[in-house]
Amino acid sequence: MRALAPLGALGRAVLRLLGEVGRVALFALAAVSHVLRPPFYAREFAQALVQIGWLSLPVVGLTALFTGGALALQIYAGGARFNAEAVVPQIVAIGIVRELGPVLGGLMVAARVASSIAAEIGTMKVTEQIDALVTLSTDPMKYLAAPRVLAATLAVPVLVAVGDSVGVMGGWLVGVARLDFNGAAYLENTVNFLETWDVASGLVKGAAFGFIVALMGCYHGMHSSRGAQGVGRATKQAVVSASVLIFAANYILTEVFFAA
Amino acid sequence: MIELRGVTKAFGETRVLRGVDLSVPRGTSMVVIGASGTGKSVLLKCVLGLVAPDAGTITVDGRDVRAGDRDAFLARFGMLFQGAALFDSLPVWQNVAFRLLRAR
Repeated sequence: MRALAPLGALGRAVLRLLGEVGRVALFALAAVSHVLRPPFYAREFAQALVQIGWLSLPVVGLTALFTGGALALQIYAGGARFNAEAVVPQIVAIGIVRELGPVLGGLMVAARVASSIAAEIGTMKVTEQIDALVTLSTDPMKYLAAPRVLAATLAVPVLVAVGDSVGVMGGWLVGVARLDFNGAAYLENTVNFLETWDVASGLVKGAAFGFIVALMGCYHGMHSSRGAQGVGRATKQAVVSASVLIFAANYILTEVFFAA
Repeated sequence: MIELRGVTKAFGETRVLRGVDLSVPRGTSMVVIGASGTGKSVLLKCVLGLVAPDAGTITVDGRDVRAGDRDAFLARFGMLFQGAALFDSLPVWQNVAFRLLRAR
């Protein structure tokens, strides 16, 4: 029987994982249903929009700027190996708009927002504020989770759009200042090369990533265990799970959008 | 009248409430005393429906506390939490007027 112990441990781990997946799926369904059904908390939604969208602009913008610049240098160096330096504007644009803009934007928002949501809701949980909400006839899912999930789902695509523009401009800056590209020709090549679906697919990814970030923050916050250690663990789990799910969702969405 | 019949609640291996039977008639006051961790808060949270018991029934004026119109039911209760549970993201007046603001 002792020889079967590792199998038993593996089975328990798989069951725990499946149980967690089921709980997250039910939580996601509940969050979506609360987003769609009244009452709506406009004040909480507006606050979440500012926290998630407006205050994330600097970090998303700076990340995109430096990524665009580095990408231009890398593509120039790589392209030089087979005399294809001229493709820098096009590859920077498609790389930023389809992949790096949404993924890096999503990750930066995950680091900034998932942690803050989990810490805030986790603290409310351990100080019994969530129980107090229920005694005041207020559904915590509707009051805490729904506004944040909706705000993140709407705000992150806008952040991605801003990040795309700043990232392309980062590539343009490096292209013009370091790699001797003509500024006007660089921009013309970028605009002519990109298709509507390139940009739209990135924005759809942004919406999915925003949903994931807020969902993980709310889920881990509401399931936080007691004490400062419990809140710390919830914060860490929110960021890690949101980041991993963003990468997984990115692969699935890329497969759906572009596998043909 | 608040009535508990055979109320049982466990958290993992720890059984906090074991078949609690209790009647609190209208107009009376009751004090529950016990050492830390013996389930006083859990008992109160079960009465308000914040925690679901594993077994047993809890009724207020003959009605199950977790059934029917929860808003109307909870409006009849006030609960002061051990750690105050003030909404620290809201100013004092919004804490005081929370239910009124929500009803607007």
